Amino acid sequence: MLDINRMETPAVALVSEEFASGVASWRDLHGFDPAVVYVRHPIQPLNEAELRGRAEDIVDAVIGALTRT
Amino acid sequence: MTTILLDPTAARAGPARQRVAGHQSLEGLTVGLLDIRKRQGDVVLDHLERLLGERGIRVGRYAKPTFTKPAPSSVIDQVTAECDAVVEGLAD
Amino acid sequence: MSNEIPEDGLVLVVRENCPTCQLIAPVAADLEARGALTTIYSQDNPGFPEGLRVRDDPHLEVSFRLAITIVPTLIRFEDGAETARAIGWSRQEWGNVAALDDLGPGLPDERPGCGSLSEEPGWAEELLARHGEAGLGAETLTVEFPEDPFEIMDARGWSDGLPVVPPTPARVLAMLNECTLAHDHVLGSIPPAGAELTVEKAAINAVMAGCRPAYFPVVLAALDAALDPDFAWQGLLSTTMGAGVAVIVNGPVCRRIGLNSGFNVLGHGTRANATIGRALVLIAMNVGGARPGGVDRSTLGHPGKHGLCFAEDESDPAWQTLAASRGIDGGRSAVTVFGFCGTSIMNDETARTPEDLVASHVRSLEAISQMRSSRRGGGVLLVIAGEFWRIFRDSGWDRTRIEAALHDATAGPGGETPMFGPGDLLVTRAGSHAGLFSTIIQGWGSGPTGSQPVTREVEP
Repeated sequence: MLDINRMETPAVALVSEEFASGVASWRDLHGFDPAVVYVRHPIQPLNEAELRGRAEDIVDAVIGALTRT
Repeated sequence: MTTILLDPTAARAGPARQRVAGHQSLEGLTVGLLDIRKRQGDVVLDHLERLLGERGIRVGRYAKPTFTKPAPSSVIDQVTAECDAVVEGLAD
Repeated sequence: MSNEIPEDGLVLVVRENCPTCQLIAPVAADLEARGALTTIYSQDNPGFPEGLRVRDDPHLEVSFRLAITIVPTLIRFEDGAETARAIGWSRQEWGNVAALDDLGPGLPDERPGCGSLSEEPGWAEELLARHGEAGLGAETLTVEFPEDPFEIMDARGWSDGLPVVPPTPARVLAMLNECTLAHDHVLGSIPPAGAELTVEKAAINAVMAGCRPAYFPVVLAALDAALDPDFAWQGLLSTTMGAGVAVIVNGPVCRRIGLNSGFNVLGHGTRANATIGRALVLIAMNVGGARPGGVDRSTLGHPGKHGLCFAEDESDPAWQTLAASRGIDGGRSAVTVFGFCGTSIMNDETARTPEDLVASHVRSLEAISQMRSSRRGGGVLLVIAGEFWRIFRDSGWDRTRIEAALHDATAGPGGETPMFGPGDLLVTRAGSHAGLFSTIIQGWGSGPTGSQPVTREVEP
């Protein structure tokens, strides 16, 4: 995320909600607060329809994160 | 008795870095979807591509060679040159 | 008693436990009787030389400030500056320093001295840390009794859960003395935080891990290997799969530092084995920020995440060492790092031939591959112990033949994916010479998209 931000391009990371504490640690270590949209856990064992549901859950938040000023 | 200890931790990152501002709107812009190559992440991005397209947003697709390593600078250069905004995922 | 060094006159530094100092005791008495001697400092016993006015230097501060390397040393001061010095006993040199030509008439003309206590290992670093320009850059933390440094370090989150050795300036300097790199030399950017890892930070963490200074070159070589992008240390440190770093060491350094290659080689019991691997863990945590539940996302982890380091068994010249197989010239010391997610013991009490052993190893490797979501993708470090090796060796098999046989037998004849890509299977020898066992050390992700083993020479 840091290297994309360095190129002056707005970016958002999709992260499992289980990794919120990892994002917090990363933020502290790097001194950078990335835009993050959390995705409901789990992801890896889901079927096609469930994965589509995950995408539908987050699409508005993704657009919101990239248009926040 | 006094014991002097040397700090084993890294000097922490310097001043906080500012996040670049988002766009007013994504209409007419291109959003790059950067797949970090975790299992099933590409399927979520496929659906996200379709959903963004339905909202009139152009989408480009990119991928890290492997989730195990940071993205090479060539990938970062390409996605930031060709897109106005980036979605990176899916970390789980 | 003040330890101020006189501005004028003759200063003599001695210690009782030195035959040359014993020899020159009458000369000291003679100098004092003539009123020529201003001060005597004794490093070990203020009662020596007997009957003289001796100042004690029990903490060796005066010896350090005077840069005494040998005792006895006789020094002349004029107006606060040293103008002459005699080291050891020499009638002529002492005569020059004291401006007297009839000293020690019954003594031999010359006699070399003994090493100063202030130069002994331990003291030298302690004195430099206390009174000198140690050149250390790390922030310091002062702990006053009755506070316990062990508890303070634990509370600060500096430990892996076990107590760590307090990284005092003297201990860190002793570690740094084992390498030629500058204290502030940057070894690399350590994941996941991307913070710069300096030689000094590595030394501090090595002290905390319990390393002796002599282990430090191995720690530095292992760090250099782990920081190679091919090793993907960042991925290993953050994966949910829970990966650790195994360090396999070859060459003469193993004997020099007492690194175990025999009994319980993958277990406890040897300081070098236990602490070198641990140093990498502490560095990843303290410098890289890889704390469990933070950036380290290990779902379960495994006991090897406390650190794993061992020597390859090089006792049989018929065995090509791991380092040699990876391009290191024979006789040189080297480390190989391997990212791993656990170990499995493999036992076959019926095997009589290499072919039997290949068959039973393949069954085990197949079983382990079944434990993952894909057949291909995890490399293996196979550790062959003594009796299995004897079966291979007695039939003329060497490393190349064993590796080739295991590759072929896991290549997936039924159209399956081969289990190992090029370089994904490493074979080493370790463990005691009795017992029909090998251990399969399971890799993480292998190949160019995962973590590849990396070998580095240990700087002599």
